[in-house]
Amino acid sequence: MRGRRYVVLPVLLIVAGLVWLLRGAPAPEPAELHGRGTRHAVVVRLEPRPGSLEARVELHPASPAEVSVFAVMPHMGHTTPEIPARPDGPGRYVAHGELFTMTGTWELGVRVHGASGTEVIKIPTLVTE
Amino acid sequence: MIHRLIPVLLALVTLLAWASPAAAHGRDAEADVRFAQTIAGMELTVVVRASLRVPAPLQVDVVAHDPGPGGPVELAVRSVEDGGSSAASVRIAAGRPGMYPAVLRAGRVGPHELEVRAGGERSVLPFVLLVPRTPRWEVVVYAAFACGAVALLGALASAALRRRGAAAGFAGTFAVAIVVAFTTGAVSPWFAPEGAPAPETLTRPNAQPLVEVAPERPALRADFRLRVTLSDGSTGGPADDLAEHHAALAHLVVTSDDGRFFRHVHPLRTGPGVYEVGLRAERPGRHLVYVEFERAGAGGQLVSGGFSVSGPDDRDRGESPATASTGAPPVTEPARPAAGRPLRLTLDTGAGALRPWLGMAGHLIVRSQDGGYLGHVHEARSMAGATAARPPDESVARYGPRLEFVFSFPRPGRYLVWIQYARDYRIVTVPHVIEVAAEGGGR
Repeated sequence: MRGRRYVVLPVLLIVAGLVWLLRGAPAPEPAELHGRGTRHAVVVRLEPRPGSLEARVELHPASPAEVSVFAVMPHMGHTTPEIPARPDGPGRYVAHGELFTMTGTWELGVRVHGASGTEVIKIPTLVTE
Repeated sequence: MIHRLIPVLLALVTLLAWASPAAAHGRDAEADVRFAQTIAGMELTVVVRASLRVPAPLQVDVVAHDPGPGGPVELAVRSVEDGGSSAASVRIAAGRPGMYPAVLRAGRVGPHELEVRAGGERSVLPFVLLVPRTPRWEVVVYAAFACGAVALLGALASAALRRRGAAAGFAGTFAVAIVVAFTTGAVSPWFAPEGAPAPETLTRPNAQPLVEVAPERPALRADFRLRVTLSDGSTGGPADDLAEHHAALAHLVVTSDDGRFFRHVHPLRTGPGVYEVGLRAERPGRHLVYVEFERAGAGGQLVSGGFSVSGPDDRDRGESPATASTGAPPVTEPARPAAGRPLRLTLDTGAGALRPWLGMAGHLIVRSQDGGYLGHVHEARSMAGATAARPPDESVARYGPRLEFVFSFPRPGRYLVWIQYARDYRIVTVPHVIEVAAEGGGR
């Protein structure tokens, strides 16, 4: 009985270690990014990872506007196309599409075209796997 | 036990913190060195393969994208430090683009010069020969694991022979070795050498060009030489510190005013800061010259100049820029692009096995009608792969058939664009014209 305990404990430890290793990296948490332009402030909620994603944009003050998002990677000289966001309640917009094509430091651009004019709000974003 | 471990760990930290040799700018020892060269009517990329050790044979591949008239290409590698050199040659067959391998010899690491000679032309290209070095922490980890293994065997043997003291000693050694190995592995990220130079080190003065042609006013349908001499903006001396930038020391784009003549070539380094290329005049009138390069330890630069070709003006032969276009024209999205808004330009090449050229699946050269702006955009999908430690080289045909570029035109107006990609090693150039509306007018 006592001998078995010496076997079971290390085996459990090894199994726990394997599970921890195979579990992989945790999925990236949805990030809340804040940016401020001359007319508007925006809060963008998205999972900063390459591939298709959903970006939720909150506009303050909540005036009617055309909103689109795009991204620039200055270090690589890389731009992604604009993704138009559709309204989702007052001052809220949702955009679906591929915003980042690779990991690294990006600049998320939120273009707000409202009654008072157009502005682009840039928010630095770190994109990870 | 803890008391015994502290001196070991302290010694380990001291050993690892020892300054490790810095890698050459922007390149690690496992990366190949690439020099695109336009020589004797051929468009070549000379690839010096990474070496694992020295002295050893040095593999040099000549990739003929445009073999032109063909002929022998002489290669020589010379160490700047001890003058030791070796030479080899390949014979490029006319009409046969592809990979032509040669084997030279590398005697030592350090600064080297690669000499390329063909058809009476000669180019001397400086590069640094590196061999990968195992990081010190890795050596420590392996040594600790080896000690641990020996100690474990010792402990087992001692236990079998009922030598209590010896078994306890071996077991202790085993424990210490394992702790050292895992600790070193865990703290290794702090000792890893940094890849890219820190932004604050990106400081070099500007370089200024002197663009000359010989003869001074080339005649239509005649050969001429274009020479760009780069001088340092602070010292006035030659700017001779160009680093490999997109597989070449310098990228030269020559276009005629109307855009019907377009060449993207890679001039030969004929002297310190002097870059030359032979061209043939095909359009009369004003020509614009742009040179894109990067000084070592600094960011990219673009300089420009111009020259004129004499001959009768025959502007009436159509509107579109030169070079016969094959296949479907590129598609822009949105269809009416606006200045300052990202535009997606997609080209269906109709071929599924495109090879990278200059490290990318495709290149887009953008020139404003007046020549005041020149942009160079890389294919969007191949960018992520190009940042890998060993990006795919010219021998890997895996791109296409769709090439995609995303770009924001800086100002409204008419832009001449050229898409370039490599199909069966051959470079294909697709010209196109894009009208860009003012922002707000595009919707």
